[in-house]
This record gives sequence, C-alpha cells and structure tokens, in this order.
Amino acid sequence: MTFLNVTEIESALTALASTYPTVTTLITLPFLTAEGRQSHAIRIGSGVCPTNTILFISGAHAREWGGPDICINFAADLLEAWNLGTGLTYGGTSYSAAQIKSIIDRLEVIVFPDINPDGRYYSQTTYAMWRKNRNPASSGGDATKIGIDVNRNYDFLWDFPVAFASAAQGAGTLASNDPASDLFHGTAPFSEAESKNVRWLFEQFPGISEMIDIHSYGGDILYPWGDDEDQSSNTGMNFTNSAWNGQRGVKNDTYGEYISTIELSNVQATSNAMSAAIGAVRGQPYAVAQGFFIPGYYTYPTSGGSEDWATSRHYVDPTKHQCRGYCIEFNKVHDFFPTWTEMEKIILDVDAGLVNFCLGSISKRPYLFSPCWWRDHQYSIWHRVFPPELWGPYGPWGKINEEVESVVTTIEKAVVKAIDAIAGD
Amino acid sequence: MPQDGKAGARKTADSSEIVPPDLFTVRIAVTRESFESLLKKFDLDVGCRPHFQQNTDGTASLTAFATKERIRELEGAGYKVEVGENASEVGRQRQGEVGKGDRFEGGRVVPRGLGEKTGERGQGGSAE
Repeated sequence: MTFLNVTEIESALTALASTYPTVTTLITLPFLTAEGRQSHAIRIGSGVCPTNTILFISGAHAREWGGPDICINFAADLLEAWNLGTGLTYGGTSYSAAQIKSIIDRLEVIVFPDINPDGRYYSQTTYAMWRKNRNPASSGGDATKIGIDVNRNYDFLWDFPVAFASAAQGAGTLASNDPASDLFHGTAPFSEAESKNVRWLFEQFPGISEMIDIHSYGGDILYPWGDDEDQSSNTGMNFTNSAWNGQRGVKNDTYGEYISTIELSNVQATSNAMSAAIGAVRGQPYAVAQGFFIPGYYTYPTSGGSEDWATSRHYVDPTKHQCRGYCIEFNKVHDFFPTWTEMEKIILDVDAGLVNFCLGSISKRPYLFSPCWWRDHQYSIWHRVFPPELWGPYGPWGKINEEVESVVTTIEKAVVKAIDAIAGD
Repeated sequence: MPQDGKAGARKTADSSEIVPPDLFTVRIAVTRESFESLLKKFDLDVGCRPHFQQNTDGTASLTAFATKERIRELEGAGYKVEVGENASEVGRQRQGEVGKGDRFEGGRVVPRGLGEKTGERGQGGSAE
C-alpha cells in the first residue's frame, strides 16, 4: 500500500458510492480549483432515522498527506462492516456490528477527504513541503507567491488586522496579507474554491451539527475557540461584537470568546472520548486542548479557520443549525511524511476516534421522542413528490422541516423536564 | 524579517518549474518569553501549529522548518538551533510511497479499509 494520489481519492469515492448505492450518495462539489479539478464528497447513511448530520474534511494543507487516506479508510471500513454485518476493530479499540449499523441508520455522515487537490498534487509530485492551494491570482506572476492558506480563508475574524490586538498580530500566527507567506489568507473570506466547497456543503446539508477538520501533525484534538481563551460568563463578549475589535488573541487580558458552559462541557467530553478511543488502539492517546492553546506551553491565536467558522455560523445567525467544529492533528511525531508503514498505524488510531465520534453524535433520545419519527413519515411522502436526486436531500422543505424539528424538540424537552420533575417528587 | 524560503529558489530536475529551496527540520531552544519574540522576529514555518519538546533545563525545543539561510540568521541572533533532517528531502523520498496510476480503476475497484472486520457475520445491510 501507498499514500493515495489525487486521482485515487476521487476513484475511491466513486467506487464506494457505486458499491454501496443504497446508503451512499456521491456529491459533486460545484467550485473547480484553480487548476480545474472538481472535488467530490460522499454522503453515508441509510436514511432510516438520521438524528444528526456530521462532516469530516481533510487535505486543506497540501503537505499533510495522511488526512485524505484516513478519511477514505474510514468510509471504506464503515461501509464494508455494515455490508458484512460485522463490527470493526482497530488495535485495542472495538465496535460491535450493532454500533456500526446504528451509525449507518441514525446518522448522515459526509466525508470530503481532499478539499485541496491542487496542493496535494503539487506536494506529491513536485515540492513536498507545499502547504497552500495553487491559486496564482495574487502572485503577480511570481512563482514564490502562489497559493492561499485555505485554513485562513473562512469567514471567522478573517480581517485579522482589525479584529485582533496588535500583540497577537505580531506573533505571526493569525494569518498574513502577504501572498508569499504560508499563512496568506486570500483577498476576501471564501475567495477560494476549496473553502467555498466546504461552505456549499453546509448550505446543502443545513443540519450539520458536528465537523472535524483533519490536519497534521502533533497528536492533538482541538475544540473551539481558536482566537482567544474560552469564557462562559459574558455573552456579549464575542467575535460578532465589533466593540471588542483590536483586543482579541491575547491570553490573560479582558477579552475571552464566549461559549456556553454546556457547549464547553460537550466539546470537551466529545474530545476526551475520542482521545480515549484513539489511545486504546496502541496506547497513544491524543492531547485534548482548546484551539487557542498549545498544550502546556503557549498560545496560538488563529483567524479564518474552518472549525471556528463552522462553530460560529449559529452564533452569527441563530436560525442556522448549531454546529461544533473540531480539529484533529494526527501523528504524534513531528513529521509531515511518515513512512506508509507508520501511516497505517496512524490511520487505525484516528479512524478508531472517528467511529467513536460518530457514535457520540447519535442522539440518545428515545425514538418516540425523536423528531425523526415525524421526519420519516414526512420524507416518505415528500421524497416521492420531490425526488432527492433532483431536489437535494431536503428539497425545498429543508427550512420548514428545521422549524418543525425545533418545535418538536422544544415540546420534547418540556415533556422530559416534566417527567424528571415527577420522578424527582 | 522576510518570509523564509524564497531566497535560493531552484528549478525542478527537468527545469520546468521553480520551487522553493529545501527546508530543514530544526529544533530551537526557547523559553515562553523567547518563543514570543522568536515568532515576532522570524516568519518561521512551525508546521500546522507549533509543537514543543520539554528540555531538562527548563527550556523547550520548538520544532520548525527553515532554509539554510534562515538557520544562519537564527544562530546569528543567538538562538540555539539543532539542525535535523532535510525535511524536503524526506518528502522527496516519500513521493516514492505515493500511489502510481489508479489502483481503484476509476471507481471499478472498491477500496477496503485497514480496520479489522470482526465478530459474527450477521445480517448485513443491503448494498444493492
């Protein structure tokens, strides 16, 4: 075995979709890269009773080769085990056949393994240490100024000179306006096809509730936020509030990025569970940390990153589904290019974590209380009238469906609270 | 300090394309305070995000990637730099471990994951 090349990633997705057609959909991303490549993702799920939609993306940074390989192996494992009716074992971490089936039946999993194919191709064939995409638009014809850092191009505090404190800008970690920099953030948020494609997935699947962006290296699981320390006491102190412009990105000062206590607890618990699953494979758990911090040492404020943007959407527009964004930095060795033999071990580690993540994303609500009971009946009729292959997974009714789910969820919470109160008495 | 890696750009073996010069893995001894000033002075390539190894003397070693020219600048500025392998060369070698052609034949051959399919083979899903 070897690392997947760009062509093989696309062929693998095509093969998985054609081999398991009842539980997959091949998704064609609409925005072509600067070199004219069209990307694909795969949707996995039987649609029996999906309670959540989750998204895995990878390959943003070209030289971090193993990410797409992790994603393809994960999708292939999940589908093959489901088809055979078996469980999955990664070293010391095992999942039962029932757990695998529950992922297929109760989740909608979208895998977009290689968001930056131009960069990967260049890294795998020409200059291995390449990080950015290969868009020459800002280079002025200078080959050393080609490319944009895709993971600084999302619309989260993208305008870092305005949003962050001068002390944070001086540290050189946020992003750069210089096309020659590896951190060049582009000419505008979502100026790049690669980030536009990720945004498009969120638009097509508005119910995405969790996302992991897979990078390397370090052996870390990172949760929001990446711009400043988390705080849960002041809701008005947040990235949407321009009154705090010029004050973000510095530790132990006034500013902290708001996240509710419940959300913080959720993202930490999810991260810790993933780390435990990874650690059980061969005894090497990943470190869990807030994105803003380098575990045990210093801070690393960032702007325009995918996980923060994914998390921020609901804060910017509360009508959008709440999403929790994470980042995995695979490989505990400080090396972009492990041997393939070592990469196989890393794939087992991370895929064990991804399966655990999926299981944690399945709603624990009883079926009768779940909005999916209502949705199942609704979809069976609507999908006849509005075939999903023509109208997309939610058709024109996605918004209505979301509103109805919101009402049902509110009622459900009230019922559960009432039952708890009665039980407490 | 200018972005590293631009001076010394070279052409590929077939002279078709200009590529940046080789980057070496370096470990730079820093304290919390000197790390901050290091990143301010030098536009260092610290990977996806910085990582450190703790040293016994209370300092830590930051892993970064630098050209020979940047390494000289770091040493000239008084930083203790341990130069490791040529990361670009390692990358070139690993390019030999990248798939050639298309092992999935345009979608006709399905990939199989590395996870072990375990347990009783029960009633699987219907793929068709």
